[in-house]
Amino acid sequence: MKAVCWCKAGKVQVDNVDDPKIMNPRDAIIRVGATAICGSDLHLFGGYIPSMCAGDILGHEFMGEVIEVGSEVKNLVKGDRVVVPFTIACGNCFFCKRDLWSLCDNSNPNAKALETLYGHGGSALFGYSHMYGGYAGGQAEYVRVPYADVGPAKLPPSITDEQAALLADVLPTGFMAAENCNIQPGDTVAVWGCGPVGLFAIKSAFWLGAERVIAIDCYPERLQLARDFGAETLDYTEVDVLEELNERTHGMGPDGCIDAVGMEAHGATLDAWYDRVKQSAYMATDRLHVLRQAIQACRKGGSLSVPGVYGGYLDKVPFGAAFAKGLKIAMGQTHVHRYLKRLIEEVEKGFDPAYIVSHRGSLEDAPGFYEMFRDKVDGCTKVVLTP
Amino acid sequence: MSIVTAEDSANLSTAMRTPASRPNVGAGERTVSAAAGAALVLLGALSPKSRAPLVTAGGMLLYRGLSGNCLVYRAMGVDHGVSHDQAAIENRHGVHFDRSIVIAKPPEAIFAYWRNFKALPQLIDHLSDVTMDDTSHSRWTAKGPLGIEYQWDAEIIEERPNEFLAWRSCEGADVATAGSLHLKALSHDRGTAVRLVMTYDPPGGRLAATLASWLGTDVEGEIFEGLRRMKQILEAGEISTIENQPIGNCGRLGSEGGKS
Repeated sequence: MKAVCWCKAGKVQVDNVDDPKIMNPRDAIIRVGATAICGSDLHLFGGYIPSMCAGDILGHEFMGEVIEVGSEVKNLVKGDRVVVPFTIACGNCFFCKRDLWSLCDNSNPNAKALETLYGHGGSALFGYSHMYGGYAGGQAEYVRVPYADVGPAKLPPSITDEQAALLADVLPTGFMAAENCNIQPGDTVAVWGCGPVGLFAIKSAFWLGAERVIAIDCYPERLQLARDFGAETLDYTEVDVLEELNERTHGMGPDGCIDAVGMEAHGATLDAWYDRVKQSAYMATDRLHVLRQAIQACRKGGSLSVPGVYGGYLDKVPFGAAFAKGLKIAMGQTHVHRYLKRLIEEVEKGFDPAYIVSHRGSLEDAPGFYEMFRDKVDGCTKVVLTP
Repeated sequence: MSIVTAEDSANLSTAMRTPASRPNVGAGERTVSAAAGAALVLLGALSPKSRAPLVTAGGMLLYRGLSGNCLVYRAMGVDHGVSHDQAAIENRHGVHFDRSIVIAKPPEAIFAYWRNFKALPQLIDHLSDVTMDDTSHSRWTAKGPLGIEYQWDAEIIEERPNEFLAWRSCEGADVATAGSLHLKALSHDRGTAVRLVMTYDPPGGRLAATLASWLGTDVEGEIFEGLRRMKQILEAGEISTIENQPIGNCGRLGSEGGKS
């Protein structure tokens, strides 16, 4: 089959590889109908996530048709259309039983690596480096799905392949980001980054009762999408974000702040350049401009929600400010399994997540799209591939 | 909270035969000793004038670091070799594993799984075979450092069903080994705390174990992976794996590549 493979930092290519096989009783094989490139794939593309190996198959956002199931998979049959959560979870451990699916104890065959790095490891992810399990990803014609009896969700016919692919990660991730803001009636939520996760966080914040959402980015097409979803917008290259957020919230600061950017934050201030120099000299793994600004901006007792991915150590984070203001901080990979039912209903009721898709193509187009998405040229906000 | 009882400790202490010269140097100090020793030996090799004293002093430090035995400490009666977490079992030359994991199953299921030692080779990489001769005697085969095979007979020395199991190698075995499994049900539906203690005193002792870890056979790491696999089997019903999954070749083998 054809698959999009990671070769080295800055290089992906389409290779012919073996078809995946059932390896465990709870596996299923899916023929991929649609698969997306995620902003977090760009961290892999850029070489910021360790433990990638040449030849690893990329992709953690995909949906498709079940073509084979293992002996223990009783809930799916050949021909079912499903979306597959990007987090791989066993469904039976301490964490899965408590609805914390992205912290599953059992899905990562290489758990030792994350434990060494972080003390304890989270669940495995599709196509997201060997410390996250090394599972072959979904930017391919076929993919093996472990624990298929608890992960994949069946799709109603009214949901398109493209819409479904966005249910694998970015829509639930945006939703959890908003949920982590503990939104109360009358709240204002600020969202840094108007990529797919930020955009879906805007939409979700309104679903959860926010009165206003202020979105921050610098790309005009993304700011337009944010306005289309009902947000007010700020271009950080034109205004002082902290001053502007304060002014728009009458000096209180936003009740909830969402960092939907993560470890590769751009920025127009001095600390952003400081991070950039340090990261390019490998003295720090993460660029933190957004995180600093979000902590500084948030109102006292407010919520800081971090769906953006961080990988390593942080430098010059204003933790004193976070403490003094009594912020509630919530973060982590998305518990996709927890949100799929509700979000499938939202799409059925008429919300079209595919509205944000800017580019469509086949697997062969992936290498060009990775560069385009990284460089944010041609208004690239979201790429969906059809194998 | 410790889940080892005084009774368990006593049983395991008698299960182990204390070697004549167990380590009396602490782990951190041993690393420093070995590194300093190696540096002195190297320095001595490079300087013809003072080769003899440097190599001699370096060699002594190296031996002290690798073996954990310090003749000066022994003469002075100083002993830094026993750390508190290992005190349940007499400290050894070889491998000493003692770690816990929580499994979301009742003690009965875990005890039944382990009590049938035949399941262990599926869990622990260096065990190639375990057969049961009768309910308390078993025969173990292990791949040692450098691919050498070791075999020994073991017997169960104490069994408290669903709570505690201890075994050790029989008299005269090539490998002096002992182990114990301690189970404790946790409150509020949090599963069972599983503590596994395993010690090996393979031919070659600690030196062999150290060399093996340099050569990529991390025996203690393998035992912990074994615990993790038992948890996966009991909780998830299977061992998670990516073996034999497709992988690209990034063009090195041409368009037919990736057929592994």
